[in-house]
Amino acid sequence: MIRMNELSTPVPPAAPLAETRLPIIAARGLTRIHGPGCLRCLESTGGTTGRNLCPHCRSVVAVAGVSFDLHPGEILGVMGESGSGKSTLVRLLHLDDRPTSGTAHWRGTDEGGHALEVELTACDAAQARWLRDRRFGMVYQNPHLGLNFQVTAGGNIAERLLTAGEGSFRAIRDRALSLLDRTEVPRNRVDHKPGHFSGGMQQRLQIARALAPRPQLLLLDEVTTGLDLSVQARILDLILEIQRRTRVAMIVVTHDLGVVRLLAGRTLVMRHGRVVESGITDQILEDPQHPYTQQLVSSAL
Amino acid sequence: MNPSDPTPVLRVEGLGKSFTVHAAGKHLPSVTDLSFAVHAGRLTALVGPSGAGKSSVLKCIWRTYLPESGRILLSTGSGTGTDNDAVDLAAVDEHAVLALRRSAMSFVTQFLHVLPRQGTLAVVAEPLLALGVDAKAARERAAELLRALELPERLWDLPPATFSGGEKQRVNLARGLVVRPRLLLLDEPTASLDAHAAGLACAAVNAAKAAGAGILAIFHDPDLVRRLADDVVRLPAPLQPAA
Repeated sequence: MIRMNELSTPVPPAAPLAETRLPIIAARGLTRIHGPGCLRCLESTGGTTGRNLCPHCRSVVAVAGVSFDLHPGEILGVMGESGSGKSTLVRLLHLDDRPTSGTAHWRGTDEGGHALEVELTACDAAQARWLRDRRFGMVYQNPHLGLNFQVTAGGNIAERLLTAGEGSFRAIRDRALSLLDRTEVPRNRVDHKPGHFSGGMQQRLQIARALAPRPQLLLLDEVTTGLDLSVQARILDLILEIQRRTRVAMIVVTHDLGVVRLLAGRTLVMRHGRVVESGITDQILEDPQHPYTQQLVSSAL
Repeated sequence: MNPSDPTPVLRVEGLGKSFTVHAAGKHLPSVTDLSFAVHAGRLTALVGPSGAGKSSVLKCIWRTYLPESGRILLSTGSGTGTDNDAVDLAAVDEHAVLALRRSAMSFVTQFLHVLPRQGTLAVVAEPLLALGVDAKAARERAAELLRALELPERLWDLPPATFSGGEKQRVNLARGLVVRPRLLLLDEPTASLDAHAAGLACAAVNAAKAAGAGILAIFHDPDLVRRLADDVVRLPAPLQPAA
């Protein structure tokens, strides 16, 4: 028998205790109210009120007081039912929408690789476009939002590379083929339009398109919802494989506890626009503190 | 206790944990004022009747459960023997816990949550890759452990989801040992193994101990406690839940 203490393979010293890396996103008090808003919107919604519609001014409190840090290389889960505000939250981060109040600070790099910080809630249209085109990637539940169905699979990736400033035809073609390989879209489908793809392949192509400019933040909104279980498994595997290879930070929005269990190190639980609980994912699932999380977890298992 | 090791790998001081089940309006005590230490190169067995909270203690240390009171001091390995050389797992933030899970501790449970399509060798090597170890070295170390636990090589490329309970448990143990952790938490690591495989698992645990790991373990079989434990921590019978 092999004696294990004689095993020879070297193992590195343990990593340093404290992670001193700064967050790539620091969100503080993000709030988005649709409608005129009034002084009583926040106290009249969320918590035990069981609603996110303000009875005084009929405004919808979509997101209220959401704060979190996202660290480099981390996958953060955002879990909630429909209407919890989770999709509004990613729309705010992707600059598709602006908050009513609150801040979201992004730390990344500029074109030259130098540190760059942008306050997302205060950036102008040109900065927002640059961030969306070159630093952020977004994958939607509905592939029609993330793909151009009028052009081919290869064209979908090329479009995004052109937008990101890539000018060399050869570089675009090579990068497109390598992204299709990595997302397991067969090369012989490169000239087909996404309308001819299965739902799972459309999602994989959407991921390839989102990854094309090597974003530093990837936002995934219910990307496996509505797909067969085996198709879901393949996409979840792919997402983790991408995270392992590229260390891109991700925010994964889902109503599915199984998705956060497999993907997310930490999870925020949202209800009526509020974060009711946050923590390490296995703690959220096995020792939930909030009555709502307890109900969510016990009804799923 | 080991006199040559004044700084334990783990010191649990006055740990308390209970559960509040809101829907049922119930408060269930689980662990009350528990203190003990785990030393480098020694195995501490947690024993006690069913329901005494043995698994809860492991889960509090791993932070799957939120500890309610007390301190859980994990040595940073610098060895000067003061409180500054330890981090309180009951108090540090989530990112610090996740970093320590990667680099300093392993938890081998009876269950394995891994991606459905990942092959066994990759599953076992993954904790090393996450620490930045070169892929080839990580696979070699993973292969050595799987070989020592006699998991047939023809299974290495297959995902463990389809394996028998005993095969899964060996994969799980190999994954827990692949990064030489300072603290190893074992929850019935041999429960689904036959006598031969259990013997291999015990050899692997003893090897980790000989390599200096502090081990905290729950065994379903009292004979294993006698064979493997250097120290024993006995938990009292569960308290009656408060109404």
